[in-house]
Amino acid sequence: MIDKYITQIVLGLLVISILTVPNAAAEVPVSKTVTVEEKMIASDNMDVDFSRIKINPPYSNMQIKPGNSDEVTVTVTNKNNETITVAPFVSISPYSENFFEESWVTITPVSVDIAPDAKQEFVIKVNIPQDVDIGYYYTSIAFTEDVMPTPYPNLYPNYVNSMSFSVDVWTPPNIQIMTPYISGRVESGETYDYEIKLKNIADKDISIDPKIDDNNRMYDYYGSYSTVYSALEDDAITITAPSVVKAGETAIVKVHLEVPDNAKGRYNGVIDLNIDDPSIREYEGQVQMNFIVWTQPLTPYEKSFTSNIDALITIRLNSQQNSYDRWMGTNTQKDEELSFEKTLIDPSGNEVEMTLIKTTYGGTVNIGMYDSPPWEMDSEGIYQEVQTSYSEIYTAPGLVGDWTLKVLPLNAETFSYSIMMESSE
Amino acid sequence: MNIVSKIAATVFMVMMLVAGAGCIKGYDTSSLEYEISSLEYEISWLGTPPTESKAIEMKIAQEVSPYSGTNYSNVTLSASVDNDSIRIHAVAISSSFRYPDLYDFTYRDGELILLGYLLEAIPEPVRNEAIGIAVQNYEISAAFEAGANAYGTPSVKRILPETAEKFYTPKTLLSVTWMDSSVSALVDMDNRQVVEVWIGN
Repeated sequence: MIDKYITQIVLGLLVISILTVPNAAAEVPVSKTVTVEEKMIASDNMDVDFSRIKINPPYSNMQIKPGNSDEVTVTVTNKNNETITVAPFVSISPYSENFFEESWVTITPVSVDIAPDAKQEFVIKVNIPQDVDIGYYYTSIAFTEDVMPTPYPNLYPNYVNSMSFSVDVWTPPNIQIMTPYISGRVESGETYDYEIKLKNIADKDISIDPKIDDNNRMYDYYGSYSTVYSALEDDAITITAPSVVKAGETAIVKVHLEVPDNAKGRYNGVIDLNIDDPSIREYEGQVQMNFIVWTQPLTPYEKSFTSNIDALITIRLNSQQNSYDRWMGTNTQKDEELSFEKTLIDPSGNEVEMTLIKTTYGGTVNIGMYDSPPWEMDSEGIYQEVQTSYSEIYTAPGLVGDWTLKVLPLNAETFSYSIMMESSE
Repeated sequence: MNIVSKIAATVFMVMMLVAGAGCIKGYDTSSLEYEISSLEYEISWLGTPPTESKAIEMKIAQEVSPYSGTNYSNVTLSASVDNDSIRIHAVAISSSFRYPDLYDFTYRDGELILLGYLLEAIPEPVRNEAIGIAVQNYEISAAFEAGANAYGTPSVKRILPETAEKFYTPKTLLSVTWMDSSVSALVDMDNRQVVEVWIGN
């Protein structure tokens, strides 16, 4: 009996589920219909019939100090077959890092009827109040109410006949960072001291609080992965600084670097001086640091080779470097001459005396025929050494057997070698 | 006029001519020596100097000038004949600078014209300051963020006012260039401001 009820209930549920599935499936087309209707409604609202005008210039950028003003003249040409009314207004952009106030702008004339193909000049004057923070302010100036149609309601209409308008509100910095860049080749296990000079040219004291920036990998070529490969941890750098740079005085921020014994690679970091002054933008109050940790090898590079003939052995050692890299950075390394300490071991294990037969200085000279900034065009045609090389060639009497060449490069970042056995017969 | 008078007049004229010639010669020579000796650097020639070497030296001395507030130690000139003019290459160095200032001139009919220059004799603190101002520029830092290689050591070159006028204003500027990355900033050191940025291909 119970089994019968259970069977009926199960059958009932089955029937219900069978009947329900098509209904559930029918939900989809119903939904689709609604969507289509919405699109049609939106489409009906699209206004593609807008006035065509030419705006010259199509964009404008001004640099204005707080409390000052500037103006730009814009010419509007009516490209329609009928007279139109042009009444420019500020269209606030939601995408600006700072909020552009409509009240800063005065446009004259306020409204004009422009005949077909006629031109009308508008003067856009911008007054920046004294208390405005420095920074970039973006907006647009719309000349007609025509809006770019969108399939959805837009809180900030995209005006068709508009020009981009940006104002860089700036002030000369009250504090000058005399050492905004620290770089150099440093050696593992060594310590280095640098000074960042800050000159306060204002008539008031300015607070500072220099710290290593948490976001200090901004110039790192390898992105966030480089943190893993960074030659130094931030705590290798100690910063000592006063809390205030007094008016008219120069303060010194001391940077002490202790390069760990096992450090290798590069370090790119930023010291944020945290200068408490509105004339300094966030990215301006920073000191870039760029160190290459260089390690002078203490043991020579060893290369084993076999001579199959009793012939003179000729060994060439070479090193080259870019001219600018030779002088890297801020005088942190001595300008020491590149040289090689070398030893040649014969098949019997004895050291063989090598004879220096040739020393070569080489270079690559540019004559300016490269992609260069336009303001350096006057250097075209003038020789400029961009890469130098130095090589030494030695000979030693040869024997058949296994040899070993040991080379310890001094003050070289890279070197190359060649070993040649050549019979005189 | 008797014979005595004629002799006296002749002697007087000869004396005047000699004196006049002496004055002119003396003026020119002393002027040249004065001008050259007033320089704080030495001018020398590589190879055989051209016949107009003294006049060229004077004009070069007026044309070349080191970075403001600094001095050259010496200026070495070399000349080559180019049709009816002389091409002059000047290398101006100072013991306290890493790099030299290089100038190319042409000299013809007593006129010296600057053809080109590559000026890198810049005090080290100024070099570093210029690099620092450049890397703090928004566009330059954005280029590095976008993948330009900031590791390479940039060149720092002095841009003369006649060139700077085309891009900003007629004053001495510094060009900080990462050639490997085709990134350059034109820096006005007086205002500590990047006035132009170039991002190449």
